[in-house]
Amino acid sequence: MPDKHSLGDLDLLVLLALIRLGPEAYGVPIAREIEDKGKRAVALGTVYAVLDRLEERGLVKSELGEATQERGGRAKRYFHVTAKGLRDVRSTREALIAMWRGVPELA
Amino acid sequence: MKAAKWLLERFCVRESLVGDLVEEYGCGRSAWWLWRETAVAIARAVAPDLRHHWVLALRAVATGWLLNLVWVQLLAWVMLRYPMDLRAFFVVFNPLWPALTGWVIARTHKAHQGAMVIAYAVSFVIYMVYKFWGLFMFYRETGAGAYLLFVLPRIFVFFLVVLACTLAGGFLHRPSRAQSR
Repeated sequence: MPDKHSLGDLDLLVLLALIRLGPEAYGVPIAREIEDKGKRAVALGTVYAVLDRLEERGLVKSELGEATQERGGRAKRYFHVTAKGLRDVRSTREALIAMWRGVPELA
Repeated sequence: MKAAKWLLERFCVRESLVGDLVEEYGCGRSAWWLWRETAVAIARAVAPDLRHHWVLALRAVATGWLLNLVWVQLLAWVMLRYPMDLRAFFVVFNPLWPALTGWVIARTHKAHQGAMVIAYAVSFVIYMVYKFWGLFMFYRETGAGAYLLFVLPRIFVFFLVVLACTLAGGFLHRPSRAQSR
């Protein structure tokens, strides 16, 4: 039976990026973190779509930050992982570790 | 950047995402990057609207085609009543009716105008493809292949003008801040 706490690969990458970035996590650094560390180019629109979905599930929370000149007077929206989100990340990590255990060395 | 921002506002893309795009573009991203990101942002804004409000989308499509019927009847009535230089008339009338159609669809579906105008535009593109295919088969089977080269490009340009004017009319009306995410 599928675990309701399981996360898709992009969901997991976004959540891990939020955890790594801490309080300064908004669209631009999240996308850059996924591209640098996750080796995966992701459009900003896609990042926001994932964040919206995670927020609906209660795994992340967002708040408006300051508007700046560089952003044409538009405010940043900062995201952080909730306790429920952290639980789901841990649960997914344990599932992945269990699946990788015993897999022969890949060339 | 201005053109991209204009489009993003028309499709009610959230302000924070627009701000991110402005910030990244200011840091040296290319124009190609900007337009690719704009397309993704608009698609991500429109798709959920269409998925959650498919009944409204059907209504928008029906509204558009009903208006087309009205324009065709009006055109036929005018042509019968007032003989005139049809080329001049078409130059004026042809951009006007699709722009009005797009504008009416946007105004009658204010909360989701971007998605609804796109829904109608997609139905029009499907109609274009269907008509082109029909014409192509007709000319092929009647052996009048030479006319294909003459007729099809003109019809293609006509349909493109209609589509462009529909979108222009639909996005003339700027959504209010309350409608922006």
